[in-house]
Parts: sequence; C-alpha cells; structure tokens
Amino acid sequence: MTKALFVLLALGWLVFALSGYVVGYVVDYENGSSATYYFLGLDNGTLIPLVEPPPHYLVGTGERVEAELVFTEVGVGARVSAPREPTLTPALTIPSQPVSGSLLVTLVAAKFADVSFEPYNMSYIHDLAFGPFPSMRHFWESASNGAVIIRPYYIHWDWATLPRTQADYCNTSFFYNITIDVINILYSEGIRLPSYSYLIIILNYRPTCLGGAIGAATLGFWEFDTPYGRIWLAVSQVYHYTNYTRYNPDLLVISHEFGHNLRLHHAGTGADYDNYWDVMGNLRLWRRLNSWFGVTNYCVPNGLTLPHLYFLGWGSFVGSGVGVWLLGPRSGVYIPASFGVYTVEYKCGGVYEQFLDWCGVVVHRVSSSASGRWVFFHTVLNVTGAIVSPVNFLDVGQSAWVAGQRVSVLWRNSTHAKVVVGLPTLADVVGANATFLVGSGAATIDSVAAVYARTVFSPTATFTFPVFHFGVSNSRMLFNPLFAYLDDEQWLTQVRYYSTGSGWRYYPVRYPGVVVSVGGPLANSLTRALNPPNQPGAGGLPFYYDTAAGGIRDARTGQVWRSRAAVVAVVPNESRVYVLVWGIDGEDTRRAARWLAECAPPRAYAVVINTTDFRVLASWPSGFVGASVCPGAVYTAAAVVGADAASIDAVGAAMAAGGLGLLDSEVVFGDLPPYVFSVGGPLANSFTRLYNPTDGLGFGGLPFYYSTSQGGIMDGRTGALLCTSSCFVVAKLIDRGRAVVLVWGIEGHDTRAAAAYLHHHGRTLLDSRSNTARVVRWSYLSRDGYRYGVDFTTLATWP
Amino acid sequence: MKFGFLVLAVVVALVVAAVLLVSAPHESTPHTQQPPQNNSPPTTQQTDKTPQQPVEVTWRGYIYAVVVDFVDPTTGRMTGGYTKWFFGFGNGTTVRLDFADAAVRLRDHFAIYVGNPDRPVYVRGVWNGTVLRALEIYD
Repeated sequence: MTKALFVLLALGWLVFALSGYVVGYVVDYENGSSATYYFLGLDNGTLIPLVEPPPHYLVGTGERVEAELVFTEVGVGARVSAPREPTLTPALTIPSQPVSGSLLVTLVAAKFADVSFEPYNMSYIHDLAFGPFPSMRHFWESASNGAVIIRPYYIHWDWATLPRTQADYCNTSFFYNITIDVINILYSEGIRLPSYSYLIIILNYRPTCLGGAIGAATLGFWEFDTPYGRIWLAVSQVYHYTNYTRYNPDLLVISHEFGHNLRLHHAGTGADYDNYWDVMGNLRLWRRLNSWFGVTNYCVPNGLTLPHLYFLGWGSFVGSGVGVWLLGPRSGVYIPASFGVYTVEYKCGGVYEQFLDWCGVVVHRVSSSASGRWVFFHTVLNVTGAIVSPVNFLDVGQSAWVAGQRVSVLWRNSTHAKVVVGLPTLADVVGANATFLVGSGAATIDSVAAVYARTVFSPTATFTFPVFHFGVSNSRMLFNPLFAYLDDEQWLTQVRYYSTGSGWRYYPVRYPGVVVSVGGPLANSLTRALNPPNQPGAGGLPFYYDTAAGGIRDARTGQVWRSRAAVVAVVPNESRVYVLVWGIDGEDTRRAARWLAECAPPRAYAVVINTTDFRVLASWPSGFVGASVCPGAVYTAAAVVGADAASIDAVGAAMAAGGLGLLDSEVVFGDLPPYVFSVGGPLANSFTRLYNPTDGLGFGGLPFYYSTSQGGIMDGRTGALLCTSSCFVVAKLIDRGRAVVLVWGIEGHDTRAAAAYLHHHGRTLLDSRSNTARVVRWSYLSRDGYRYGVDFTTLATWP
Repeated sequence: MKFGFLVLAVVVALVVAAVLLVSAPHESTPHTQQPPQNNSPPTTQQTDKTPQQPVEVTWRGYIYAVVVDFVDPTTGRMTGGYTKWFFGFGNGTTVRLDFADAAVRLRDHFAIYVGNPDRPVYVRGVWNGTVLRALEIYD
C-alpha cells in the first residue's frame, strides 16, 4: 500500500511539474497597438499559454526552465516557477572571443579640407602600420604568437583629402562621418572594402571639437551603409597631435587603437590608462632603437596582459586558486572572487615586454559586470596616485593579499616565475631567489651558516634591475647588487616610479628576494622582529625562544627543547616572505642551515629539528614529526672564515659561495672541496694568512699583501702602496689540485665588496688555470640615502 | 482504505487534465521568435534628432562603441578617454545607447557582444528620439 502511494504521488508530481522552453510571438494591429503571447513549449511540441509574462531574458533563448500548471477561470495555463538566472562560472567571467587567421587591413592617410599640412610621408605611415619591428603589425602578430596575420588589403599611397573641414566634423558624428567619407573616397577610386575587415585612417590633425584627442576606434565592428552595400568594419582613426612624432614614431597609439578594434578596452586601475604592462594601459615606453626610421626614439607598445590574451584566444590559465604555480609567457592562474576573478601572471620575456623597466608578477581584476571596461589593473602594494601600475607588482620575495589569498613570488628567470597562492611552505621555498641577512653582532659561526643556506637558494641579484625614471633621474643605471647584509644596514634598493599627478616620485623597494634571516632572536634583529622571544611569532608561528627556560618552546603544547635544537620557518609578513633559520646556539644555527641544504623540507610552514640527527621534533601545522629525508649534498665549494672575524666577513662568505661553511680553525686541507674561498684578511683569517701573509709576497709569488706599517695594500713588484681604504684583493691560487680563492679587503665591508666583485666580474679570474690576482677599488652608488649599486675600478693585476 | 480511494481519485483527475492538455489544439510556433516591437526603429543615420515623446521599445540589434583617447601633447602622457555607446539595427541605422541603468541578462560576458555581428541582442528601453535608454538587455 505504501509503495503504491509513493508511485501515485510521484505520478502526480510529474503531472504538475513541467519542464520546457519559453517562446512567444507578437501580433501588431493597424491601430498601432500590439499584443504579445507567451507559451511554455514542451518537448513534444505542446504549447501551454503562460498565465503571466516571463522574464524577458528567457524568451526564445532555448534555455530549459521549470514551470508549474496553474488553473485559472479561462482554463489551464503554466507559470515559470524556476526562471534560471544566468549563471556565471569563473570561466565565463573571463570572456573569450578568439581571433585568428588573416586580418585584412586598409591604410589611408587623410587630411581635412582646411588643413594642407602633411606631417608624414607614405613610407613612414606604411612602416608605422606594416613595417618590420617595431610596427603595429609586428606587435599584434608577436602578441598573438602567430595566431593572426596582419595583411595589408589596400594602402592609399598618398594623402586623401576629406570633403569637409575640421569644424564640419564637429557638427555631426565626427567618427562616423570621417569614416564614411574615406569609404566614399576609396569607392570613387574603385576600392571596395570587404566586410569584416579593418580600416586605419591616419589624419593630419583632428576635428576642432576634439582638443587633446590622440586617436579613436571602434570596439570591434560597426555597420556601414556604402554605395556597394552594407559592410561591417572595425575602424581606427589616429590623429596628429604633436610634431615630435614626425621624428619619434608613436607605435603605441596605432597599436592601441587596433586593440580597440579587437574589442579590447582600457585596462588601467581607476584611471583608464594606468597599466604599465599592457598596450591598452597606454603608459609610454620611449626606447632608442635602430630600425626602419633610423636610430631614434620609438614609442613601443607595452605588451599584452593575460586577460586580454585569454580573451583573444592567445593565452591560457594553468589553474586556479591555492597551489604552487609555474607561470610562463601567456599563462597564469586565476582566483575566483564574488564579482569576477583576479588573474595572476608574470610579465618579463617577450619581444615587447623586454622594454619594460622591470620584470614582475602583476594582478588584474576581471569584472563580470556589464560595462565598457572589464579589465582593471589591481594594486597590490597600496601605493596610490595618478599612475601607480609601475609600482604595484610583485618581484621575488614579495607577497600580497589577493581575494583573501596570499600570493607570493618565490623564484623567477627571464621567462617563468614560481608563484604560490596560499601560504608558502618550507618545501615551496627551496630554490627561491633569496637575500641573506645576519646579525651584525652575531658570532661568526652564526653568519657562516648563511653559506650553507645559500646552497639552497638562488641569489636574487642576477635578475633584478633598479631603474630611475627619466622624470626622477637622468638615466637608468647599471649596478652590481649585493645580496648578503647585516641586520643593521640600509639595504640596497630596487627603485620603481609612480606619479601622484603632480610629478614623478620614486618608490624604493627593499632588495627583492626571499629574505633568509640567519641567527636567533637575540643575535639578529630581523629574526627578533618576526619571531620575538617568549611569544608566538608573526602569522601565528608557534615556535619561539623562551628566555626563562633557555630553549625553544612550542606554544601549542608547551614543550621545550633546551639543546641541540633549531627552528626553520617560512614567514610571510606584510609584503615580503622570510625564511628564519636559527638554533639555540651558533652551531645549532649552522646545523639548521645544513639541514636545509642536505634534507628535503616537508610541506610545513615551520619545524623544530634536532640538530644532531636532523629529526623533525615538531611541525606547524602538525603531522610532519619524524626522521628527515636527507639525500645529502656534494659540496664543490667551501667558504672559510676566521673564527674571530667580524660578522661582516662571514656575510661576505655568503656572497662569495654556497657550500660548506667553515671556520679557519676547522680546515683540514685534504677534506676540502675543489674550490675554497678564504674570506677575510690575513689578520682575521688564519687560512688566508697561510697564502697571503702580511708584509711580504704570498703563495707562488703573489705580489699583493697587507702592509701593517702602511695600513694598506702594497704591490710587492713595485713597492707601491696601492690603497689604504675602499679596496680589496681577490686572487686565485692553485694548491695541490685545489683552487684557493682569496677574498679580503682592508676592512669587513671591503671584504664583502670583494665577494660581490667575484660574483659579478670574477669569471675570468675564477676560470684562470694559473695563479692570478687583482687589487680593486670600489664604492657604493647611492642616491638620496639609498644604495643602489657598487662600482669597481681595477688598480693592479697579477701577472 | 478510504484514503487510498481518495488518492486514486485525485490522480485520475490529474491524468484526465493532462490528457486534455496534450490533446488540445496546438498553437503554431511563429517562424521567428521576435520580441514585441511596439515602436518602429528610426530610419535616419545616427542620433542627433529632435527629442520626441519617450516611448518604451524593444529592439533587436547590435551594441557598438567608439573609444576616444586623449593625450597631453606637452608631456605625451595619455590623459583619459571616453566611450560612446550605440545601438545598431543591422540595416545601417545606429542610435545612441545608454545602458547605465539597464539590467543586463546576457548569457555571455558583455564584452563578447560589443561590435560583434554574430551576437545580436534585444534591448528593451525608452527611446526619446535621441538616445535609447536601455532598461533591459538580453539575448
């Protein structure tokens, strides 16, 4: 009985619940009135009158709707019971309208009836549009990676004269009428434009009512009635707005207008044009090139960002949301949000992107709401002003909140970047581009741990490039950056620029890279700020040094480790990512760095390890306690530092090499790897003293030595005092099959500069097959208190 | 037992109603599902007409736009742009379009419809002889 009842009830529901499509028709009457009838169309063709008008967006769309039967006085009808709102998936919120194949482009230079001036010859105009790099054609073909081919359909090889004056075009719709006049001129010369082709009109000035206009364009196609029928054209008009473009070709404007023809709109922040990374952002890149107009400044397009690449079918997403992503050219990730999505991409390598002043990860907001603009540059560093897109990008080691998620950049080269959406783990940071920091008053053993840490990370310096904008300084400046510092130093900077609206300002960024802070909270002020004693650290890091207990405490469990223990943690804080490496004493710190170098870190944010056997004692989050997986490491280099040297000497060691970090008292020659960097002068480092004693020639006749009486570096060949400050010796000596590289200066900063010299300019010295040495003078490059580089001058060489 | 008969009676009544519905004469489906067009589209090119008595219309056509870019010639810095929106009927006639207050119910992203001859839309709005003020845009 019960089963029968269910069957009957189900039958009844089926009768009442209907599914179908909404259709309708209109009857127009002679008296001007009309009547509209709507129906629910069932799959079998039955039409059931709807008792009330359905939502307009459902009519005739073929979208299935749910409806219910309604009994009325005039009979049975239907009512749409579940009108489906358009559902927007993340994929739909990033529109896509692929463009590929040949695009036919007609190029016409036209002058107003009352302006005879011809600012360019046709060769110039042709090359601007269709010439070799840089040109409009070259830009869009490059941006599409060959997906489109710009084909000149017709080039009007002379200035056409419009039938109306500049003022005439202000009386009516200027854009339409200029275009239709050009179409008619072409028709009079026997040229008929194909439908769905592109028309670029270069004008010798602009309508008088358009003061300041530089160009105009249709978004996509527009219908035109011509003498030969109705056609659809996408039209660009480029106005002559200044005479300097006669000598400096303005590629940006013509490329930008063509972007509108491809249905792209502006992509700025709040302002239409504030997007340094996209041709539709319209920030100027004047670059001196040798191309079709000779050696001159060309205003090159800025490239194309991912929302636009995806829209045109030229880009893709490798994924969305939380994860570790390797972003390359034309690919990125998106993060869903309530109004649409954010896109994350890396801008660097590319035919036109190479002219950007920086490489960086940029974020865009793609709006799903209907409006003209749908791509917005998203600021990530909270720098506001009129033009801030050149500032608001993430370089390596930088991090920002986007749609409730942390987005961190850990590594990059000229084409790819490793980006973490969500909190980065220890496993994620391996291989990151890094900057190394030690306490200025720390023991050498603490500092030498940085040498081990460097084997795990890549120095950032190779890939960064600080630039002063022409409005701030006169030129971009080459430099030789450092990547190992003391905690009390004013770091070198990367300089970005922005405008508040009343002039250009520069925005100094603390040196890019994941900051590896080595040494505990009592020895290193940065570690202390992020991981202070006696309380949980930044971001809820539960491990801290308990001064009363004299050990590392886990705030979650209260457990304390009083010896042979160390903390290794990843701490995103504000706009940076930090890695903390510190132990209960200096040797524990060195062992912790060695654990990083020789073991595979788990996917935890932080661990406490036993520094003897590398066992994980505690992890955050929990779940990773146990033996470490340690494949080990084969060290090809070692850095030797005096046990009693200043910390800055040891910092220099981290600049010089990654590998074994040794104190001079620990050296056993037979156990050394093939390359040994002895860092620090003969007074501070006994290993250096073996090869380069004071007051006399060194190993193999090395002529440069420190004179205790003169207080400077002497040349033993001539007896000349080469320098007494801001200089250093670098030498490569071959001893029993090993290369001993001496790196020392008058004082600690000179020693670090010597290591920087080796990093940037030491290749020929390090590759030498025989003994060789140089004495070099150096100085910081600085501006307004910010050090942005190091300059070198060679004083003497040997042999 | 009485309850079972009651249910059976209801179901029989429903089935009868359904049979009546299915066997009723079918309305013929129009060849094209046109929206109500209670005002003829303008026939002149472009928009600069004398305003007329506003009337609600529903038109089928295309969304067009022209973007104008501006520059400070001294600094060379782009200084702002504006976008003018138009509605085209596909017969060469275009009128100014204002959709600031419109409910947009399009199946795809709005950007796909702009300047796209393959994606016509319906616009229900108020036409005053100069500007079509859209109330609803759908496809």
